[in-house]
Amino acid sequence: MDTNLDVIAAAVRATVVQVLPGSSGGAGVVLSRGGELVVVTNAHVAHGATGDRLRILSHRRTAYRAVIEWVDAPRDLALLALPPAASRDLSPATLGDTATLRPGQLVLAIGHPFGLANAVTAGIVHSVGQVRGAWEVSPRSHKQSWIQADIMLAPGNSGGPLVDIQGRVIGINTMVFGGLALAVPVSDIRALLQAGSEAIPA
Amino acid sequence: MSQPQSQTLIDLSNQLAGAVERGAESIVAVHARPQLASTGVHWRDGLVVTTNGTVRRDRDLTVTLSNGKRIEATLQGRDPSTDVAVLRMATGLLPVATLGDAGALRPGHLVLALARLDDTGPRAAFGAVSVIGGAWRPWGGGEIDRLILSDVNLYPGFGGGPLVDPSGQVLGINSGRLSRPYATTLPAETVSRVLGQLASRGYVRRGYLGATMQPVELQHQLRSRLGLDRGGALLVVSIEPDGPSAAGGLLVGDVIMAIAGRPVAEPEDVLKALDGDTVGRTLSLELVRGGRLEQVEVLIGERPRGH
Repeated sequence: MDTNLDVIAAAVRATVVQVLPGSSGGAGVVLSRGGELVVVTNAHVAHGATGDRLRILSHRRTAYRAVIEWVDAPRDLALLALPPAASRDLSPATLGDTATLRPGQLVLAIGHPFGLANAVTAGIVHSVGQVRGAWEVSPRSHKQSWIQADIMLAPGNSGGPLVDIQGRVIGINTMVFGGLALAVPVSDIRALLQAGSEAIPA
Repeated sequence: MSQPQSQTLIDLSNQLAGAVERGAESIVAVHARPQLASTGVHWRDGLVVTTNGTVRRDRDLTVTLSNGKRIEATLQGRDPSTDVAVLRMATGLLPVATLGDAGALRPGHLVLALARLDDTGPRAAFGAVSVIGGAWRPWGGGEIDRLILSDVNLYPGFGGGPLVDPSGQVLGINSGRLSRPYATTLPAETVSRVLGQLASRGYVRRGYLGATMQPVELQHQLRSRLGLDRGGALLVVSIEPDGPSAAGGLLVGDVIMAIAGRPVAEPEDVLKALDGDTVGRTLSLELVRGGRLEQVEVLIGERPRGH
């Protein structure tokens, strides 16, 4: 079946939340953990919370209280639990595959740059691998891999999804370095979901 | 929930990734400056093209191939006037670039810029052609056959790398320095022409008259007495001793009206007369000297290197 880019983006939007407060806020991606909805975001977005609770907004601007389950600072990822009521409003994202990424393939980012809710930007994969110098400004170590994308991001995109042209999440947008978007690869998110108990409790 | 799909967009995405892979087969990382590498295109077997500005030294040059191996290279030559440098490396190691048709480019066409900085694989940036124009001349004074500007973001190290079309064919090499914020691409035909001269001679031979001139306006009375229909001309203000103009008998104070039958009023008009491989040809200069029309023949010399 064929459809337009806006339809693909709209379907991804239903899986993206805005995480408040924090300095500029951030974004989060709704995932299913055995049927239960959770939100993955950046550790540096979750750090904006006072206590272990965060206010999030759905794409329809419905507010929910989310509870911080894990903060994995070395990966710059955090996991938030959602109340059951959130499933009326939010859908889980589909996860893609980092191993098959090719430089040049089309990607979309959805987030809330400068607080502008649910903004969509488009670009391509620039490269996948270690990024020289990035560890100096990120808690992630120099050995960890990034997806680098030639796409426009701004504060407020942090924690939001980088998706492939089929709407599958391939990374969590985390920072801009050297003009390029850096996203934590989806393989790290899978690791967080599966081995969350080994992560550092919040 | 099943995600909506577009086969057209999936195909486009795959095509772009394929273009990166094809274009990247013939690009290398060029290590010719401190810190960051730049990118080079394997243009002819054993010859790699990059931008002159990224080749900061003449020795201790290396290139990283697509298989990650780093090998030695030598400087074949540079042309600062077009910002092109050519490095020589062992032959038979890489496919040469497949050249596309830069002449068919129109604003709006999708393009990719490619780079290789190390052994971690190619890098890509994406955008659209913004402006297409005719021949132009950068600060260095060289001839660029066509203006190609795009909105592609040239990240550090992308200088010297190829601009490719969605089939991976090379349209030219990207020069980050020429017209920010747009990316400027030196068209493939310019690169091929400069490479041909650098490969055979090691430098680009440029025509030279050995005279400096400035625009002047002829007085109305003089014009009407000589029957000239325009006033713009070039006044000779200095002549290099033993240079081509001195040998041809040009004098300071001569007012040049036309070169090779074409009216001249700006220094640019003289550069145009010297474009191409004109060394050794004779130029006929029509001029006003002592209130009379005269003609002087100048044998075009070779511009001293470094000028």
